Parts: sequence; structure tokens; C-alpha cells
Amino acid sequence: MPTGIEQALNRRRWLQGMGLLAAMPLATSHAAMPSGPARSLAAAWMQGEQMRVGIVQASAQVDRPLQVLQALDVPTRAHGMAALRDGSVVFASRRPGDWLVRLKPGQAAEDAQWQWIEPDRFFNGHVIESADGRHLYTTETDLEDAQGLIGVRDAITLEKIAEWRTGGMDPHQLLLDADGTLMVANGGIPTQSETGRRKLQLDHMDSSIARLLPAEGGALAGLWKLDDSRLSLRHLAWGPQVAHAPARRWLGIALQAEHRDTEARAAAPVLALFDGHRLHAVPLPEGREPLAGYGGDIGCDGQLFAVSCPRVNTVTWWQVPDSGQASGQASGRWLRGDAMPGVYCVANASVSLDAKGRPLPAEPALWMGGARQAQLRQRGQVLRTVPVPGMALDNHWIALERGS
Amino acid sequence: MQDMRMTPRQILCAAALALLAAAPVHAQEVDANMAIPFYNTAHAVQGLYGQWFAPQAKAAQASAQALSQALRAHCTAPAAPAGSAAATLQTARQAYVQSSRQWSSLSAVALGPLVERRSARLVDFRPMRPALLKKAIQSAPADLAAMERIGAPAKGYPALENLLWTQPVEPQTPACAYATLVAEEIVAEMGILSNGFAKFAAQDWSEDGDATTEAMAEFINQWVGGLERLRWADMEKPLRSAGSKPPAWEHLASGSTVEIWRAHWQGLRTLAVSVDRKVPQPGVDIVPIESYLRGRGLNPLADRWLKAVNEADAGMRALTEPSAKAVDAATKPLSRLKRLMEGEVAPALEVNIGFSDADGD
Repeated sequence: MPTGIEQALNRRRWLQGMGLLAAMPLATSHAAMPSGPARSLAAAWMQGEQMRVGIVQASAQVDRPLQVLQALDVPTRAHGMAALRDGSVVFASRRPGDWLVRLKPGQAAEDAQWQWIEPDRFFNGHVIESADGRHLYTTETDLEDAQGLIGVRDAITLEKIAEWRTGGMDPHQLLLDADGTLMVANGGIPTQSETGRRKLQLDHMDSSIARLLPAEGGALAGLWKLDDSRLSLRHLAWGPQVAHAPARRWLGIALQAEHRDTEARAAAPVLALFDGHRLHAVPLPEGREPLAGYGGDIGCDGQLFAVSCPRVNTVTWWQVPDSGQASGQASGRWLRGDAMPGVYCVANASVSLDAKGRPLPAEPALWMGGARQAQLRQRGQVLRTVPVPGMALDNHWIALERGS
Repeated sequence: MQDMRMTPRQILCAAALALLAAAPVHAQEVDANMAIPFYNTAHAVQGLYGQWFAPQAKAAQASAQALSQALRAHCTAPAAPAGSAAATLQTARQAYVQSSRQWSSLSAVALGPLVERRSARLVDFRPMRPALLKKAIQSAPADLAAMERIGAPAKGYPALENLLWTQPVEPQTPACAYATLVAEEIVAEMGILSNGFAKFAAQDWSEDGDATTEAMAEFINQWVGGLERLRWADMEKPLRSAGSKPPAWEHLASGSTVEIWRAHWQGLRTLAVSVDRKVPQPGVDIVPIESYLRGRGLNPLADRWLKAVNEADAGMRALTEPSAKAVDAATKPLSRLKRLMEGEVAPALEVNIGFSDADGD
């Protein structure tokens, strides 16, 4: 739950945003772009031939490029990251990954803390902090049997102290639920060490959402699957309250289609929703251009899920079902799509935890990173645009502090 | 993965190129920009299995047999006098390096039976576990059937390297008998691979077949995978992850680290560019990636590909010892080569790279 101060800040920022919206045309021109508070984000990017992770800042000044506050060269591509409550950020290598690295604010690159995975495992790209802050959870694959596992790591040393099976293959993103349980997206794509670059046996894909119980040694409490086994469940964000079960929140899952048939893949859904009991894909609206079957990242503004679709240069916005009753809106619906070239990363508050170890509530406006620019978007409104020259932002980034 | 069959336009283009190239094309030297025949996927796959994997697997089997014989000679030699055992040990060591090098070349691109059998896990599992090796020797397996009960971390080339250099086996000892069985197991695996690749080579790779298209896509993906194993897993990762310790590169005990890396690289290079600068004959010769590109009229990209491969080759040739500076210098052009393949060559061939660095996840 947000603190009173956070609520006030959120409300104030929301009101500020609404005020700006009222004053702006839908497509804001650069000249009319207002300045706003600077915002720091933990990100991964490629600059020239060098892959990097670090902290970037969207300046308060209009048209000032995205600033790099802190950067660390990494040997292979990074993917997800988690901001810990001690102020450090831990970055995970992209699958099949070998390393984790922790960067503290202002720390010199040579002082970064590296952790290398054992030879018969690889990282799958995501990491989060445990509710009590003592551990980190990383998604990993056991190369012996290609099965997925959660690496439970000491939050200080980054060394592994336990492993929990995820009940599936290719576990990708993971989030803590407000009740302390762990939600894991098993991407379901088989891999083995001999074929690190090849997606194998896609006919045997077995993607699922798993709920694990950290308090019970990672015991599997539930596993949910979609009807279409060629949809890989990959990226997660918490959404608004479930209307028919107010104690729960919607879990939004960005999808990656792996259909052999090109047309089927292109027309595949990009979002699935989970209400705690039922998992379903949200169909694309009829008559709209397909989204190339790939949701690169997901965030939530408190009401709507935003899914980036970089292959069609579009940010898509989705509404959750109004109720659990069978109706035209029972599965959620497409609200709008906004053009944004190369959009990948969407700031996802769900990855970060509050002082009590619960996922942070959503922010009403979301920072998104694209091919040449980053934007702060509130649904269809562009509140700010920041040029991103010479940097190719990766799949994910996360906002670091609020109200700065 | 996309359909890689020829379109009518490609057929016309191929015919025109074939006329330009004119017969005989076999053994004809090629300039970088010389027109060459159109190679379809069937030509490429046929060349791959028939002219690369089948003979490479046969050579790997022969070198493994030589290793096995050398070990047997060493282990059955009289326990005395000192000096004679050293000679047989030396022979076994040379045979080990030769066999290991051949395996590295064969497995540089893991295709077909190499993947189906997970042969790398069977004969080259790393890290080798010394404690398990000690236990395995104590268990004194009598034959290959008994060896099946011993785990991969105590067998294969890593175990033999330990038994030939780290704690060299003496003739007429249980450790020597165990080493002989390890070598025999490698021979058996290479025999199975050799038969497997011979079958693939004899297969009729139809131009229109799904299996052919799939095999070509698999080859491109696994070529990138092989490059990444060399650049990152074998060379750069031990350097980056060493911290304050010396990098734990493989094959340091036998002093063959660079030799094994080069064999791996030559395997990749042979399938990447026309190393002898000859025009491959369709359906007969290996059709390296460069020739495949040129056959499709993609000469500017083929030129850049050739340049990138040559730069990587120069880097690997300059590598004379496994040192931080040398490895750092050699891996940079390998990294550029990977990016060119993922970013331009594979898309030009309409092949999706499974876990490409050029795409999201």
C-alpha cells in the first residue's frame, strides 16, 4: 500500500497531468512540450558496439537528451533489473545468461559486484528482491534437464543458497504478490546447452504461470496455462483491482507468439490476464492491424495495461474486464494503440517493493523508451519527450525514485 | 523460420548468374565479386553433411582410435624401467591433443546427431569433477557397459586430460585401466556420430523439403551458437569471471588451449567463407555462407562478411598464448562477426536466429 505521502504525490502528479492534458492537443509538438521533474531510471542499452547497464535520467529541461548518470560495460546483453531498498540496482543477463551485477549509486564501474552462475545453469534475464529484503530471486534454467528454477540468493553476497523448481521450462519474469507469494512466468520454450541459439521442439512448448510459496521453501501452489500452447507467457505487471474479487489485482502478462505459421504468429494476442484463478488471452480487436505477436514489455498506469509492441512500433493500451460475468468485456479489451518507433521498455512499478515488501502501486504516467526517444505517456497523451541519441534501449527499464 | 525456396525471380537470376559463371566451375578460383551459381538449400545442406560433417566425424573417430591405442600401449607397457613409460605417455599425450582438436573442429557447429545424442555432454562435460573421477577409478569399471554407470563429469576428454597431465597415469595401474576405458568410450561415441553423419550425407535433401529448409535454418543458428561458445564461453567468460584469480581457461594442463580454440575457429571458418577461394560446385562441394550469399546476388554483404571473417581469422592467428590481452584482442572481431551475422546475414537469408542479440526476449 502506498504511504500517505506517496498517495498525495501520486494524486498531485495525476492532477498535474490532467491539467496538462486539458491544456494540450492530443499530439503534443516539441515546441509546446512542458518541462517536468527529472526522473532517474535503471536501464540496459547498447551504445555503438558496447552493451551497458546503468542509471539514466530524463532531464527536467525540454529537449535535453537522456543523460547517463552511471554506466557499466557488460560482456553480454543485459535484460531485467531490480532496484533494491538499499538503493542498489541488480541487473540480470539475458538468457542464456552467465552473470548478475550490482551497481550502487555513484559507484565506480570497477567496484561493481559481479556474480557468475555455475556451469550447469543459466540466467533467464530477471531478478527481484524478496519481501524481507534478505534474498534475491532469479529465474534460471537447469541445463541438465532444461527445467526452470528460481535461484534464491543472498541479497548481500549474491551467492545462491537454494533452488526452487518452477514447474515448467524457461522461467522468465517473476513478481511478488501482495500476499508474499511469488508469481513466475514459465515461458515454456525448450532449450539445451548444445542449442543455446535455437528454439527447440516448439511443438512441445509448455508455458504457464506458476505461484510459488517462499514461506514454504518455494512449494508450487498453482500452475495455470493458456489454451494456445504456442503463446509464451513472459513479462508481468500488476494491474487494477479485480472487480469480482476486490482483494486481488489483475496480473497482466505480455506474450510472445511462437507459431510456426507466419500469419498465425503475426495475428496472435500480445496480452494475457490472470485474476488469481483464471488465465486467459485477450483477443485482438477485429479489424485492427495485427501486432506481430510480440509484447516486449508491460506496465500499468493503475487502470490500464500498456504493452509495447516494438515490431509494429506501437504502444498498446488495454482495459481489464469490468466483471467476471460472461459478456463482451469478460476478457478485457483493446483501448488504443499509439505510434512510437521501436518502443520497447515500459517503466514497471510492480518490480519494485515498498518498505513492507509489497509491489509498489502503479504511477499514472509511464516512461517508455523507443528507438530515438523516451516519452512520459499518460494513455494517449505525451507528457514529455526526451531524445535518446546513440543509445539502443533494451527491453526493460524501471523508475528509481518517485516524485524527484 | 522462413521459407527459403527459390522464387521465379531468383531462378531467373540464378540462371543468369550461372551463364555468367560458365562451366566448368569446379576448382575455379573466385574473386570476391565474381558471379557464381545459385545454390539452393539442398546444395548447401548436401555439402554440409556430405563434405563437412561426414568426413570430419570419420576423422574424429580415427583420431579417437589412435588415442585409445596409444593409451592402451602406455597402460600395458611394463612398469619399468623409467623412461620407457615416459615415451609411451608422450605418445598418448600427442594423440590426446590430436583427438581433442579433431573433436573441437567437428563440434564447432553442433548439428544432427551431435545435438540428438547430446554428444558434448557425453565426451566433453565441463567442469570435470576430480572427486568423482577419483571415485570412478576406485570403482574399477571392467568394460563399457560398466562405464555407463559413471557420470559425465568423470569421463570424456576432460578426465583424460587430468589423467595424462595433472596426475599422469602409470602403466599397469587402475587409473591407467580406467583411462583406457574412457578413451574407448570416446571411440564408441565417435563411431556412432560417424555412422549418423554418413546417413545424413546419404539422405536425399530435396530442394522443396521442409527438412532441408529446417536443416539450413538450424545450421545458421548453430553456427552463431558455435561462434558464441568459442568467443564467450571458452575465451572471454573465463577472463571476465576470473576476478582476482587467473582465468580458468580449458586445456591449460595440456598446454593446448590455443590449439583447441583454433580448431574450433577453423571449423566455423570453413563453413563461413570459401577458404581456398574456389567456386563450390552445387551439390558436390561445401557451400560456405559466403558462397551462398554470392549465389543469391548479395555480393556487397558477402564482401563485408568475408572481411569480417578474415579479421576474426587474423585475430585467431595472432593468438599465440591464452593471456588476458591476447584473448581480449582476439574476441573483439569475433564479436563483430556475430553482430553481422545476427543483424544482416541471417535476415538476408530469411533465417530467424532463435535468441538473437538483435531482438527482444
